[in-house]
Amino acid sequence: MLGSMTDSTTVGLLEKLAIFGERRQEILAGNVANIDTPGYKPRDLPVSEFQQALKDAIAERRTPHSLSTGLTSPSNSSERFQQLFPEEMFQAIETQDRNITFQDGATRSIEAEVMEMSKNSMMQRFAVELMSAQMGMLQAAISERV
Amino acid sequence: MLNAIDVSTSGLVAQRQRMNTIAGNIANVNTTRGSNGELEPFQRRLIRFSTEDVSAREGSGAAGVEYRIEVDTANDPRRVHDPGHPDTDADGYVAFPNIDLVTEFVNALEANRAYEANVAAIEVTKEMSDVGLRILA
Repeated sequence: MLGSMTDSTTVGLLEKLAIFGERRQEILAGNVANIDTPGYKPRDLPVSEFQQALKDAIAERRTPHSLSTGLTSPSNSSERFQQLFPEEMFQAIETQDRNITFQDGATRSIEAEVMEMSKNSMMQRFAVELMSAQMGMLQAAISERV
Repeated sequence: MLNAIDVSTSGLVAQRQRMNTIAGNIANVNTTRGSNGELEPFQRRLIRFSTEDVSAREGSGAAGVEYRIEVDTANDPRRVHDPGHPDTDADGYVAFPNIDLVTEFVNALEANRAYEANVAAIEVTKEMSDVGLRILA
């Protein structure tokens, strides 16, 4: 019942986005902490893969076909989420050649890390704001007043 | 979420310790004797950073930083001709620690900026967890 209610919104996707943002913050904080470590390669989550998975999930929601196959029922949709967003997507990988390589083998750039961090923070804030707006809409529908 | 703060804290501790070694090097720039009074110029300390995965959550791949303080043995003492000094050798030379103040100050600046970067990262983390709590409201 609750599942089918929230399936009419994008709360599930936004939740993934917020979780991704929080996990990524951990990785980026590690990059800043290791800014002077010789040979350290900056790590990151697979951002483009995640964006692609979000895109696929949105596309599936939009196809009328998915309604008839029962994809909107709670159990199926959480299974599908697991397929679209596997745990590996939240595992850090070493980034390749994002920044200048220094003589000690470390590829460091404090500017790049801080930029990524503030973009990531904005993305997470965006997800949470949208989530609470959608929750507000559901609240309005339940209480029958705006 | 709070793991990100632990990771940044490991960075703060490491940079503060680096500042401590730099301060020690600068304080001992003219030290010609060891702690037991033996005639041996102070040897420059240096700090070595390495990645550690303890302060991060298991399996997340985030990395903290740890440090080790080492003695710079590659640096021979600076010999200055000063016959009036009580610690001269037979030729009238005094062995001073080979500490370059400019290098130390540049390292101090760098440690300071890296410390600030970690504080900024903590601020971002705090803001993100504040936003997260807003879902409840």
